[in-house]
Amino acid sequence: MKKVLIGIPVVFFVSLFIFLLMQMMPGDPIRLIAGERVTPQRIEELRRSWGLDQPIYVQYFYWLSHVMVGDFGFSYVTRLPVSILVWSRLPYTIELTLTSLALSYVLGIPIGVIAALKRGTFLDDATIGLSTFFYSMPTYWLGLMLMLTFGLYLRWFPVSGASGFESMTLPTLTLTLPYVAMSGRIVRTEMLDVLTEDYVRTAWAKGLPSRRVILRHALRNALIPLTVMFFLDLPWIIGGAVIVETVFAWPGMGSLLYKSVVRQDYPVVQAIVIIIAILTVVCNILGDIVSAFLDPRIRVEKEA
Amino acid sequence: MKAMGVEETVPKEVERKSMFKLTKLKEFCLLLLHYKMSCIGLLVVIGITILATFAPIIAPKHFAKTDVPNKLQPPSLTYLFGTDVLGRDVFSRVVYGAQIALWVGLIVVLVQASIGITLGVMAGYFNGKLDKIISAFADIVWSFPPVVLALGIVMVLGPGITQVVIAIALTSWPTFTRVTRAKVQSMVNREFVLAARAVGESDLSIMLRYLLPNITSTNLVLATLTLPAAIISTTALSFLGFGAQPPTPDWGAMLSEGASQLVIAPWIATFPGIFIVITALGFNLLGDGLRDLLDPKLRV
Repeated sequence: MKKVLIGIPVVFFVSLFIFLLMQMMPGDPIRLIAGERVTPQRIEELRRSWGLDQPIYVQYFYWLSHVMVGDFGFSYVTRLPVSILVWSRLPYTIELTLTSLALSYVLGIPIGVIAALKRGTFLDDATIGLSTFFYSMPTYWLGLMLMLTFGLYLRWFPVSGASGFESMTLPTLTLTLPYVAMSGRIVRTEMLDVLTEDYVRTAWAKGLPSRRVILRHALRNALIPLTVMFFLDLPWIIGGAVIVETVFAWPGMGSLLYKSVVRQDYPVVQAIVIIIAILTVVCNILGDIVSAFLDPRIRVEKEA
Repeated sequence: MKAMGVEETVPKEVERKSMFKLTKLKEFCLLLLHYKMSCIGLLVVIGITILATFAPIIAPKHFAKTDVPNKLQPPSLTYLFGTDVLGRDVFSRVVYGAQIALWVGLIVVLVQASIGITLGVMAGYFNGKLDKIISAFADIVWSFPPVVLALGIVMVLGPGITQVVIAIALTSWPTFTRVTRAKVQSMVNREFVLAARAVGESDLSIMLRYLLPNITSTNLVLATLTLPAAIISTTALSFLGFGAQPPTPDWGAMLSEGASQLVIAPWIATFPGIFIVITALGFNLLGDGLRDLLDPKLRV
């Protein structure tokens, strides 16, 4: 619950920070909307109709009260409501990030378990080596290289756009590979910890079949940190999606953010940054709740 | 030239060594040798440092020297990594790029370490409410994606490497806070701190003179491990076109120029990327080794 108390001011602070930053922006947004050849009267008129003649704090509270009900104003470039723009892009980002996360767990968990069981062998070293390798690789470069190999030379998959399953392959792969390595490594470390615990030793001593000991006794507890990491990583992977979406021209929220920064379309940028800030806080709170729910020890610790 | 390079980097190790209370440099090197991968990492780091330091000597051409008649040449003996759209030598640009990568990485790490360590020492020393606020705040900032904040800042202040450095440092300090806090908490009730307090040392003096020296080695390990992440994030923003501006031979900016030529001239995008990976890998391997050596508890 502490997180909620800290989280609300953080979101508020981010919104204020972003708002003030945007105010410091060089250039007059009215010029952007109206173009160069307009009369001063027309500019005044526009300024009033967009509420830009009010003092800054009035503008901020006006804007904040609208943001709270999901109204982010209008895009300066397309003149569409920002919420419609963002909502239309959101499903693509969710599709991409959740598929990547799911896939990285499906691959990463078995890899981590096997590496932990075969500790010190080639398999284990390879897991660690590969995870360090992918950790050291910038996603955008990985994306470009996958694009070059599978898109341009082998022509197996389309390199950009979002026309069905095939065009999703390369962006998903780009986001997934580093996370496979990371989740594999986390599972491995946790498994190594858990495997030396008394209750696992007891399970072995009782003569339970090894499959049951590994899956039911050890893995279940080793997965708790990974579950919590899911919530903490979600904002990060969406941040990573900004780059991947831009590289592959995937029509998600990330490429919208990129495009809006280039076009200086600040209502859209404000909206996306704040949505991600809220998401970050919510994920943090969920992470705390889930970890307390899964691990009674944490609950006790907090109450004490 | 190699001997000079070793001299360049060895004093740094000597400095660190004295902080780790390892009396002999030889002992340290022997221990490090024990870790084969970390040795490779150390060699890579030394290599990149040499590359950056002696860039004007190593690079056959200046990074901004254009030669349009020879544009888009594939890699050959004359042009080791080929040439780009303006006929600039990609190899020379990659070599000069090492300077930028290392500087930027170092500055980002210094900024985030100073924010992170300050907050961490405070949280660990003054337990209670302040600790809870700082920790919760650090948790939240930690999961906020740096690229998103960087895009927000860059939109207002315009593109540039300084803006990117600020944005990345502002979002990535919490790792330092967490580690420092835990370390300080474990020391706060030890005899030497209690003794200092009994003698009448002020809080500030205890933090600076008694606690800070004891968390240096841990934070050095952390710095080595954060540097590659800093390089990757900053080059990512340069790749998007918001960081270093042309003709700066930033590896990320080179990649973005190369991305548009991916079909005709894939080498422009390939080589800077390989160097980012090698550099990041070198620091990560070295950091892993240093951690096992100095602070095994930090292992994730």
